Amino acid sequence: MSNKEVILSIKDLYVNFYTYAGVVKAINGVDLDIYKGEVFGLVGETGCGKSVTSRAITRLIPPPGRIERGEILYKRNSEYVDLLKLPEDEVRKIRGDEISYIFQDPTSSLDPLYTSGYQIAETMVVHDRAEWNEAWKKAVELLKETLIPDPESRVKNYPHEMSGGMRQRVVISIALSNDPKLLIADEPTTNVDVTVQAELMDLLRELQRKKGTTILLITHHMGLIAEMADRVGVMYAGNLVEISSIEELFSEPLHPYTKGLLAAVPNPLQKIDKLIPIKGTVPNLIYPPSGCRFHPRCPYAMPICKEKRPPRKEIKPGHFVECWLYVDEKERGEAKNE
Amino acid sequence: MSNKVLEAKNVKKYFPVRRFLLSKDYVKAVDGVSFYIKKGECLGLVGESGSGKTTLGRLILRLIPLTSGEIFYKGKSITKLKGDELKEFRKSAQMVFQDPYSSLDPRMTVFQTIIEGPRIHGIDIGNPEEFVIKLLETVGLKPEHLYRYPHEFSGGQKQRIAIARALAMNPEFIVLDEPTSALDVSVQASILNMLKELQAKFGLTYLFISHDLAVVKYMSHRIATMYVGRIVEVAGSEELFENPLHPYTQMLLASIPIPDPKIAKSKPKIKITGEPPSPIRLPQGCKFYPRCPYAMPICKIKEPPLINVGNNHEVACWLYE
Amino acid sequence: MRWLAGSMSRGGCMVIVKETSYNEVGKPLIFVLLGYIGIIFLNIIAAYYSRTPNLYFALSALIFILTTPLSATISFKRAMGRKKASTIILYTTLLLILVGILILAYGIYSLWIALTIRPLIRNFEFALIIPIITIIITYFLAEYLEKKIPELYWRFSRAVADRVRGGVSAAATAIIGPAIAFFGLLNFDAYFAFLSLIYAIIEMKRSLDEIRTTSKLKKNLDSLNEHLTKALRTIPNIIKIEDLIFDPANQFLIVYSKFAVSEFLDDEVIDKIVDYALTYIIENFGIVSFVRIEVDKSKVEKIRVALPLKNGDEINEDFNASKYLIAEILPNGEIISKDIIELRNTNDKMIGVEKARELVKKRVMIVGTKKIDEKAQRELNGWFTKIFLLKTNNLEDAIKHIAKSI
Repeated sequence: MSNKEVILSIKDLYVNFYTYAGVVKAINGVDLDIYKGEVFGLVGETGCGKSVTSRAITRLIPPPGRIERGEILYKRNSEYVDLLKLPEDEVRKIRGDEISYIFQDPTSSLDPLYTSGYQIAETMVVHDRAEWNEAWKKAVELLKETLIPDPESRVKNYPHEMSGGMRQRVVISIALSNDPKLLIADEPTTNVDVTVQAELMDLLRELQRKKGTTILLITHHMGLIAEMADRVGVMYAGNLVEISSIEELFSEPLHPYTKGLLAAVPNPLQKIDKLIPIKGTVPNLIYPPSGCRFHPRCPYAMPICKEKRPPRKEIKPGHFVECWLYVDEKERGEAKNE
Repeated sequence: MSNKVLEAKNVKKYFPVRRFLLSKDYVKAVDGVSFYIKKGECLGLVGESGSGKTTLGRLILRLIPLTSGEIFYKGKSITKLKGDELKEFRKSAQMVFQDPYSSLDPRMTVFQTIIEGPRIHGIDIGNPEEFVIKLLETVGLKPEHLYRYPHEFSGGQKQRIAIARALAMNPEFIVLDEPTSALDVSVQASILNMLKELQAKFGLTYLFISHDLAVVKYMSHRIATMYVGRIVEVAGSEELFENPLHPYTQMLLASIPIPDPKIAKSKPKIKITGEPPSPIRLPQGCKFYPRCPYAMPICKIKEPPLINVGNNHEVACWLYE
Repeated sequence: MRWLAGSMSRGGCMVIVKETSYNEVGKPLIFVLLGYIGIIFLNIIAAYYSRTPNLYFALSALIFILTTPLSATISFKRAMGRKKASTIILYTTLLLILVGILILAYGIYSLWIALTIRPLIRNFEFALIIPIITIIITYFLAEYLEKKIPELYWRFSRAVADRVRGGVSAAATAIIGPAIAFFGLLNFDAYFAFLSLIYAIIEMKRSLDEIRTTSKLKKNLDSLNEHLTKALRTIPNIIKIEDLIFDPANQFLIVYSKFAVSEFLDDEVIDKIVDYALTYIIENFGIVSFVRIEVDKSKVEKIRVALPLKNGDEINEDFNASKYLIAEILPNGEIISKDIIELRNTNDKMIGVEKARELVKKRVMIVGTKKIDEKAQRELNGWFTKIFLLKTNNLEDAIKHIAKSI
């Protein structure tokens, strides 16, 4: 699955939103590597910044948002380019072509005035992948691959003539029409029934297997991550607090937030006596907590957690965590004195 | 002699839909539903879009009129109640809605919101402030929240306010319609725990409506699955998960993403197909027929009745009749 | 659903016949047709006495509309030989369209006179009262039709009712002119006649479309045939499809089907097969106005039998096995072909049922087994596959026993 070739590397990303209420420090230094061919899950609750991170990749952050600093290295052909430094028209060529998106609400992702076939074909034509004739034919093929019944007629339907599940399939077809290297799926099945969700997830997995597409899956649903992802990143309040393989995340969670999250999720296959909530609430990112942003809610908080943000440590191969609990005493002491 | 707090018999709700040229069609949102809930019990109602579960919740509380059928509350029929008698019923049966953002009046303080019900019904609560403060404490909020407005609270806190509002009426029965769907996982856990404690403490009876089976299993003693306006299976929570009989329930259970990667990757692959149909002009016979892997000709001709197959387990499927 | 069911003895084979009920569908249809024709007569009188172009146009619209309830009723003709129904319907539709066009033309002529020479309208009572009666009665005829005809035929009753309801628009557009003219502005009768003219043309187009639908349906007859044949063949004990006739009648479809089932099936089972075929046809072939199904029992030359195996040559204790023998045998018990298949299950809650389903897909007519779980039994029975409970473990004995019992 992952042959260790990094296809996307986010380094030191900071994103702020300049609102009337104040500056929302939405992304507070995120480092993330995604390997070619894998499914990387980005999980976290509301406001943790997972959507913002995903959109920052192709500079889809509208004002009042601003990418303050960082690098987003994308492997284009055989060399790495920094997407944050490319001219806008270059990024536009990549967006929708090599890096494509699936968003949460299929109804707002589709233009109500054009047929589904038109919208799928348009993506290909605009990126110079095909002429209109070819594109139309390919659109039918793509719809067929998403297991939509009767694709020849569906191609001529308008979005309002289709159900939610079908619209999402059209969105998937659009996203896959140019054989993207990286597919970013942001809560793709939140608005859809659970049986349809299962079908769409199977579909994505199948397509990923066949075409080797790398998928960045963003969700708040721990079950979905467990089923789909190879590796996972856990985000909290703008920080990426833990990264690991999916098995290790569930069997050996390191970060206190991750542990709290797992204890709060009901597993229908187990008899649970009590769900354990995480006390406190998600912080206001205009005035975020100092140091480690999780410290007000953390049962293991130490004095240094309030003062300084913890460095990232690799505890086991491939398993990273940003938490002072995993930094040895000596380093902690040095950090305190700086 | 029975301790059934709520009983529904063959409840139907059809919504008329205007077509062109004066003709009408009907959306059969709820089409012949019968069930009961015992005192102190939590009955979970699960279904996807078009299942009718939300409409059923509103019918039970008489928020919308029935097209036909009967509902009994504590043994008495409430189907045709009007005026004062309806008000009496409304005191004892309350609802908590899904979206805390829209179910609280943004122009009323917490105090006003909670006190409104008892005031309208003329219930004597003694010192109003003390009364509300006590309720706030019960739901985990603080006295200083008394005169704040909804927008000053988080989603989870708003839902607590909504629950306090329901409790202010000293109800015996509460319908909870997706009470935690709009909340984050960690907040959801604390609200669910609180609901359970309240149920134990005050002997409340719940109808818990949700599309999230994992949550429903955690909260409910018994679970009913609905498909396109009908109940297709009812059983105790453990029993339903261990021994799902109806092919739709099986499909539903197989669709739940399990938060455990070991099990997730080795789950039996039950083929999940299709989408729930929209409840206008459905074909004859069992509504699950187009998606059912075991469908037989009789399933197309006649709809299976909901029958008891023992162990308090009911199912509507020709494989069991 | 009450069907006209009859079992007629014909040359030794028992025949079951079921068709769309005259009482439930035919009678309401005829009632509405007659009521509608009555309305047309009223409108003829109104047009004659009031001379307004509005009513000529309304009359022509009503005549165009008549093609639908008339073709619906004719397709209900109970005589055999459905093929003829569609021809009659085609001719009557064309005739009605012709008549409608003639009246329309006359209406245009009188409109021209009314505009250029003088308004023609007189005897206002006719021009006002009869359209009102038309509106009320056509509305209620349509409602009555949709209520009376059983739910199973809703597509059919809706198609007819929608068209009949057009009478409301025809009369509504025709009453405006006369109503205004009634108050003295005689010229406005002709001005507003354009509305009813437009509506009449709309209804003419609809009737022409019906004929076009017929030719479209006629082109697709082969695929309809294929579709129904495939559907019927999913039931293993339907052994021969003897006749399938699809007769398009305007926008409706008349279906006639005759097939044979294995003679060892019980009558109640055959009854259910017929009900299934009827329901299937009505729900999957567009707007079906009339269906007739005839089923005979027939001797089976090659009987396909399945037996669960243990160790390859013995019969398994239970129906649920990993290997099954599927054999084709002659009525005397001789085995003509043998095949051993492996069946695996994916859903541990429905093991027997899945295997039963797979066997049915392989067109197994009879299953012999020592024991079988209830659900699997219902699945097999649900697909009309017969189950023989065996006492022996021996394959040959089992097959001989089955051959003797049927």
